[in-house]
Amino acid sequence: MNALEATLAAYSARDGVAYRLTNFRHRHLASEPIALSPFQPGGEPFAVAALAYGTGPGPYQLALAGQPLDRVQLFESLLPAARWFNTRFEAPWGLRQHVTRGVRNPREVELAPDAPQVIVTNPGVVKFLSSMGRRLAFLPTEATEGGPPPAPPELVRLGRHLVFATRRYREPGQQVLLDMTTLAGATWATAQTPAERANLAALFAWVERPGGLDGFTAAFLAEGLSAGPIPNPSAEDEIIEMVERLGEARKAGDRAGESDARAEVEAAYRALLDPVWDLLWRVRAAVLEIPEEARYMTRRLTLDAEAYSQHMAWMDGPTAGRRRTRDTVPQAIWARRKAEAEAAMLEAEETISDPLRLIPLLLDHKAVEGAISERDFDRSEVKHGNRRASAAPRLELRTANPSLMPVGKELWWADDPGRVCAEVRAVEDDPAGPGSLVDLVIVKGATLVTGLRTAQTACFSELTTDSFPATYPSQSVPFTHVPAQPDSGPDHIEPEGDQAPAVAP
Amino acid sequence: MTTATSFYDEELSARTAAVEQEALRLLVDSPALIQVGGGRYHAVVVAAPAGAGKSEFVCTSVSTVVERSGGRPGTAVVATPTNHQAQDLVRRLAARLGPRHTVAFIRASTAPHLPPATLALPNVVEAEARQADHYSVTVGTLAKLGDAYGRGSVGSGFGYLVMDEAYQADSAHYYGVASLARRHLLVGDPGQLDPFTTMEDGDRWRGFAEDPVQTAVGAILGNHPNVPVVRLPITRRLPASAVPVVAAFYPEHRFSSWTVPGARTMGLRHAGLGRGALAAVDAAVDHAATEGWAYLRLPSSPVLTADPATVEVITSVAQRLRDRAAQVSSERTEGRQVDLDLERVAVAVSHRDQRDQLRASLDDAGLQQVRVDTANRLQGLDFDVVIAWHPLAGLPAPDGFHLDPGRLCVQLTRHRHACVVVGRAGDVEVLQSVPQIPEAWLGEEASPEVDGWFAHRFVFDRLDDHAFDIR
Repeated sequence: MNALEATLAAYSARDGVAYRLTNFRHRHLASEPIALSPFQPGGEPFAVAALAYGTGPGPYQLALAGQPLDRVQLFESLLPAARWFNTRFEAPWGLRQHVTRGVRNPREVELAPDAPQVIVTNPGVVKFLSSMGRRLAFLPTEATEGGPPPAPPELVRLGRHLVFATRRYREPGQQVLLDMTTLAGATWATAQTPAERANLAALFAWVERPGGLDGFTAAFLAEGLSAGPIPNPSAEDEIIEMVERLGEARKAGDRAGESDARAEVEAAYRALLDPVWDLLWRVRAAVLEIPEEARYMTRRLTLDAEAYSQHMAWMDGPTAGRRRTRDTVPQAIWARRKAEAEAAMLEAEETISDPLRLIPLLLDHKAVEGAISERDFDRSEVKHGNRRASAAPRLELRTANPSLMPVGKELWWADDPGRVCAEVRAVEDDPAGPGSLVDLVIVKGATLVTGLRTAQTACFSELTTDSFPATYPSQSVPFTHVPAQPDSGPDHIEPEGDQAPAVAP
Repeated sequence: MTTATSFYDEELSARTAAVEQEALRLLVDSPALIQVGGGRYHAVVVAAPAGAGKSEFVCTSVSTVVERSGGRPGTAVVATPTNHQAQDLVRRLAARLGPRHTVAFIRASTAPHLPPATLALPNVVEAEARQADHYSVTVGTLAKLGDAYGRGSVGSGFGYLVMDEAYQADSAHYYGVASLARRHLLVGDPGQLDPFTTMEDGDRWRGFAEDPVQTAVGAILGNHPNVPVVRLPITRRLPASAVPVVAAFYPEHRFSSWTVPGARTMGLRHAGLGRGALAAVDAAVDHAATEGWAYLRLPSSPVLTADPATVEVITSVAQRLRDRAAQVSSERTEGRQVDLDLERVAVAVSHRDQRDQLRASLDDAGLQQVRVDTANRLQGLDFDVVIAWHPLAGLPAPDGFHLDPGRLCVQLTRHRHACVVVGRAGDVEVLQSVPQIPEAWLGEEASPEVDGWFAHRFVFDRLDDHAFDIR
């Protein structure tokens, strides 16, 4: 918890209201997202008892298995949902275009204009969809001797899309699969513990405060609601009895009894799902009201579209989207490098573009902001490793509070944090005010700082969007990383991660 | 007065020498134990407790293989996680190997040059990666050597790969350099901080062989369980008083202090006359001087990480060491009492904002020479006196980061004379319930959180005898 989060949580406790943690919304919200809200049967995370799906608030469609542990009932109930999902999820791929990528080795790739967006209530649902996806993705679609009965191809397709979306979910800043609990948690500070904030109804009650209640009371009244995928135990006990009645009626061939029992189960799940569905869309609507961050959003939307396009091209390929479940050693190394670089980039982008997010950095002396009290744009100096002098404009910032910025530190200009870098040369007490005079010399990007010639104020921070291109690890695995007794099956089948990505990040 | 001959435990010295000889024999003379894809390879792991003289052992090993090869170019390539460690090894290896053998340092373009004093040595050069195999010994960071190998500027023909701090190196970096040689020596301290990642779900590969975040040692032992592990039974840095406490971090590793009890002493020339909170600080400093430990506790309270009250207490401990004219004597001073050099005092913290606040506070108190840094950055360094900001101090609920036994281990194993731990009275209470059930991973038996829980409880129990409360 940084100083801003702690302060806002304290204010929240004092005032009984939620406070915004950001000036902007840092995730794009698609106009017609695919919303999924599942409940699993008890502790069984590989089957879905009830799945609400739709693209807007109001009535939803329902896939209801009856007895979800029965494969026949489960697949029958999921099939219409799978067809519906696949159509929407694959729609952007229908609009793909050929584009040329790469400078040295130009090649044609197919690129969808954007990626679809799936929204769910919480990370638990993401985990559940990942398990479901994995179950469905590897089912055989054709009968084999002695093998399991074939599954409808649409279900397998759904499974492979879910595997992609839930893997994509792990990438920092992605927007293919968003859960509203994480989004709301990043948006509002409340006087709640992390465990309380993990309950979407309780968290959002602080924001919504129906009837002007204080946050504590509102959360107390709301927190009984489970946003899935596991129902509250009391509801679950009732449902188990209903499902047992359904099973008995089926076994006895009692059509009327079966239909009654099914209606009973459906009513029970609708009673669980109605408030969850409603909550999901209310949270989305509230977050949508916050203006979207404009400066860096495009880059991340492009990354999503590229990842989605690679997935769809893979679906169209010879393996029809089948993926290995474990990474090879070079894949894991590469995935980690990419994730670390992307996390740093996201942190920089979200912080630099958002004045509220910048406050903790200023308080921690990881950024400095002030009025430009002196500037010398004709200055030059011989930089390390150079022989000739080059432009090195100097600025002096007068800060409102004392700055503990260490001399010699490299800071990046918040207006152009990928290219303009300054070095702190001196920090002194301001004789004319309570703060400090911070002496900065632009050491990188001196030609890009024309804006600073006239600016009244400037902000520099340690965060940068500059990134160093990583190299893909060698494909020949050294003896240290080859198991003495190999435990993996046949050679892997997907190219993803085997080479540098088709499109450089 | 201690006489010069009685500083050391001679039996332990002999035992350690035998263990080191055995490790070298396994490295150089043992038949290759690993067979992969038609090739034969070999590796030896040497695990050492804090301050065992690991780097010295690395120098001995390198010098042994260089002597054996007659100084043939490309005999050994030495890799470390950080640039600082690499540069330090260059200096030590050059001194050990003597003028007949040249040590080449391969510098990353973004890294600083060797210090002028090192570069001035006649047998040290900064070389391009392409020329690495022109020298008997080449040193570089794992990242630089891995990158150079990946780009094809260094080949795979070295005789030995020697890795220092191999428990801080991660599997991904090891992967990058592993093909440089067919015989590997991995030397490291398993008690210190594990490698970490800034990615959000770095646990996603936990328990699997492909996990790029696991230690280099974990990677090779996981894939090749027949690789021998040799444990050094000695700590040269830590005083005898430290061993019973820091044993918490090495549950399967018995070791003792090289110096016998009484070989290291500390005293304060001026009596402590402080009142109020300072009385407790003075009493703690006196106690630490004789017992090697003191545990100063502020009143129980949940606080933010960079708690100003803790900053104040730590600063006053350092001030009292200076103002009361602390003195130390040890084998290094041949038993003479000398003034405690403030550059030999360090403050070990967990967070950078704690470090920043302390830096400002120490500077204000005229204590610029006292080093303050996070545990990560103090790894591998030693000081006479260390003031440790307990990772659990004022923490409302324990979490994986603060429970990590490696963090506390680094903080409590940097000192040669005394360590003053600063925390809060209620800190132990967060450990008095049962540990939360941490996530479990198939294929992985250890749980850092549960290990940390028990290590912390063990340390709290031992520190209890040294506690001083500030009221």
